[in-house]
Amino acid sequence: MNISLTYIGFLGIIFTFYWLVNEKLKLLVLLLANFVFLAFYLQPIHIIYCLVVIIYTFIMGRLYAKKHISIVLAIVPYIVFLAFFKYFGLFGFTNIIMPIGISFYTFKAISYLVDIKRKKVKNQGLINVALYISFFPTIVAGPINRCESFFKDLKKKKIFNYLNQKNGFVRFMLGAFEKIVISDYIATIVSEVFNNTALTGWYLIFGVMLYAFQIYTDFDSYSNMAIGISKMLGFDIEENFKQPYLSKSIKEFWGRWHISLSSWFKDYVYIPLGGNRKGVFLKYVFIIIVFTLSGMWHGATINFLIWGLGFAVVYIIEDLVKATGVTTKIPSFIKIIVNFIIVSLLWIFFRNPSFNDAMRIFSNLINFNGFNYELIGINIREFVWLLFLLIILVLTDIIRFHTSITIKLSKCNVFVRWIVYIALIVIFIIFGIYGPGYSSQDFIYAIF
Amino acid sequence: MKNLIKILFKGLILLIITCICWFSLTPIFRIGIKPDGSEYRLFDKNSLDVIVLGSSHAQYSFNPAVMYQESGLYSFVLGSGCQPVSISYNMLKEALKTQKPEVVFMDVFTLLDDKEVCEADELYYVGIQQMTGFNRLEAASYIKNKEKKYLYMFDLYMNHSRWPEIEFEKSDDSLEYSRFGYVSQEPAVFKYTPVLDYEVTEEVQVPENIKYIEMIKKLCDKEGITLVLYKSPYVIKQESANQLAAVWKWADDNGIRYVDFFKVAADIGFHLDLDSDTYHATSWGAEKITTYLTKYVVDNNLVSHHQNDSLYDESSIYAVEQTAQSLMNENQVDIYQLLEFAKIYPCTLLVKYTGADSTSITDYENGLLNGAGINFDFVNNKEDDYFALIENGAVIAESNTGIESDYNDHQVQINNNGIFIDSEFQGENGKLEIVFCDSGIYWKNVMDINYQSYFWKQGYNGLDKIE
Repeated sequence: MNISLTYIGFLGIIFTFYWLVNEKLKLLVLLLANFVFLAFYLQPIHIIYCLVVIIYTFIMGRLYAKKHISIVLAIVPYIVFLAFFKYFGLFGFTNIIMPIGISFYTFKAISYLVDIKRKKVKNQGLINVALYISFFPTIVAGPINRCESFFKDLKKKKIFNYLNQKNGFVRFMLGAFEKIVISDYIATIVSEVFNNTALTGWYLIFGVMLYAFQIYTDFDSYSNMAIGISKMLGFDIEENFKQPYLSKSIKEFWGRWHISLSSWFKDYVYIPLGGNRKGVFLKYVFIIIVFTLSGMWHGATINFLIWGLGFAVVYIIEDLVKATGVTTKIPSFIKIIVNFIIVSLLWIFFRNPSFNDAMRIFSNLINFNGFNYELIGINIREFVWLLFLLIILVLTDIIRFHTSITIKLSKCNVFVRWIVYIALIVIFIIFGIYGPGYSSQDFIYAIF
Repeated sequence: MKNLIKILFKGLILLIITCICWFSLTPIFRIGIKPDGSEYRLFDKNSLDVIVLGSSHAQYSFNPAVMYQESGLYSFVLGSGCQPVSISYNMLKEALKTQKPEVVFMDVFTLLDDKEVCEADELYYVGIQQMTGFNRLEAASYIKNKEKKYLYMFDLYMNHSRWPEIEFEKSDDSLEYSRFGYVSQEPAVFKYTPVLDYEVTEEVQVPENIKYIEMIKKLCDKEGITLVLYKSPYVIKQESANQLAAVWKWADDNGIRYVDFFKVAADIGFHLDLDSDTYHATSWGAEKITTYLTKYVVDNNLVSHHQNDSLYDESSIYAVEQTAQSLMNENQVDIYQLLEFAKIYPCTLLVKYTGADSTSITDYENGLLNGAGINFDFVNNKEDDYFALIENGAVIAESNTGIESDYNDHQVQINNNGIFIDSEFQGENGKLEIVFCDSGIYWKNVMDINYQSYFWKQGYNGLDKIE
């Protein structure tokens, strides 16, 4: 799935109808939009599966509310089917295609049932459940928005608010900009580096670093668009990223990276297991379990498992070192750089499905032989543009660390604001990865 | 409501700004894209006298260098492979933005059913690449493939990715090797196959796309341009022959001039094979057609406001030299033709004549030799030897005993032993030997003539026409 004119047109039609009809019909329009979206991107069998999940979740919600069924029994089918779709390849079912967004809406469905148990939400009607699970802005790649806030928003009277519309639109456009101008451009160079097995040393280091930025901007852009669209529909979706590469530790990183997933694991796995309440040893065991599950959630390869376990190991080491107090004297920027290097190295397992490929990259990382950008298929203009993008990325992240760019922008005077808009439009038109000269990339997280 | 209006207004402003940015950037990203035949934009405004429209039949059959050499008129071919008539209309509209020719020739091949051999959606693309503004939008609207249609309408969509390699500095080398839209092909089959005049077996309706000819005619009338339709000879099928007759009748009815080269082929010595393959004229055939059309323009006084353009003059050098080479290279064995061409096109002659008391050279042939710049009386002084080096009709060196000359970095020796270029012996050392070549001697055509038994060879291998 990627951003297309069809998708933009779809959004335009949905918003028009959504805000033209009365309050009761709004939900129906939204439900219809969800299923039109599903029909467009999913195969019929996958739509049926999504419908089954919705109906099952609704029924389980009812039964569970009346205490007719245990929560574990209710959740098991989700896990079984999710595991089946994710790991069918391991069992020889090579002709089965995993439904887009299954990992995301399955987790949403589970959280709904668990939250009923925790009395955070009441069991909902079929339409509300359907709206929550199939909510089109987030169904493909999250955020895994929580039902509590979603149902609250659902209940609220939807008022056409200029500021929400404007901020939502700007957020969406910045997300699209981030994807089409930054992420997809970086992706083309990352592919050049990793597809050329002759490249070693600085080239691979450069490629690994670029991939870290690619996956961040790719996923962050989707979240920004999802949050922006949701805002325009009257829903406040939780933030999914908070400048993760400015984190000073892995623990902090996971509090800033894919927040909706890490908090889901924290709320629905780590804490129910016992969290840090059962001693240090068990805490570390739980951490290993959580990160292992997180790796498995991403895919059925040994590399995802290593990736998850890698984070668990670093997390535990960090925790142990931190307890000695040694780290307090280390300057923040060094911690940030070290953390970025560790995360980037672990992304090698994430990007390469084959263990041997990942090992080859690791072994070639220290084989230095100079650097010439032409060997990665770009000329001086492209190289300068790439460096410019990276600098802008880091700078905007630093600004976002302290304040929201959309709010900051809205406080500028109208002249400055429109100059920024026009500059972004021109940059988008010239440098955007669209049209026959480029191959735009699907969202990386859409395959999970 | 107020909020909604505010949002709609701002959205509209944003949309307008986006459109302005898009259309302002579009021409920038066309820089360096040089579709065949678009160089005419570089010429002075309104400097072209003649524009030729049509498909590859026009591209192959009309050579502007021939028109230029024979009349000094400036012409340009705005054609592309199987170019639909609709695109020809838009081509003309586009050209009229900077040019105001007095004559428009149009080959009507794509009005006929025979065009089906090459008809495809892609045919629109080449022509559209030359167009700008609303004219481009109109031309692209003919494309059936929806995706391609919008791609060519809003071409920044496909061109913006050129930013890493685009050269923004203006390049003036576009015309260095221009043939002014003409496409040359050498004869491949050396046979004199007569062009058969077609017969009408059935009266048919004019093709539907004749409406674009009407539009071209209206445009020409509005601009005071004379429109002349023509059809170069090719191997025409009967259905198309019937259509062609209908087109000519329609042209007659609508007061449009036309030239049917099927009818005049015999008069101008146009033969299939030698002058045309199944569809396209060869460089020799193009010379005949262009010569005829040039004469048509001149005889009918169709151009009255010729204005000199130094750029056209300069850039015609290459086209003329190429034309000279294709007409006079070693494939050409008709000495009559060679001497005629030598009068018109730039060439160098190396002449060796061994005198004798008997000769087949007549006054006519002597006149031809003199017309090419050979300053010798082959009838009255037939017993004298004569050696000469002649460039573009002017004698560089001549002698009765022999010549040794440094000629453009080449050593040229001409004496009774033969003609030598850089010490290399040329030809068979006949009684009359003429080497036709260019001034740099990159190409040459050595003619050995035994004038005592017969004067000249005629046609390919000389004798088939005589036999």
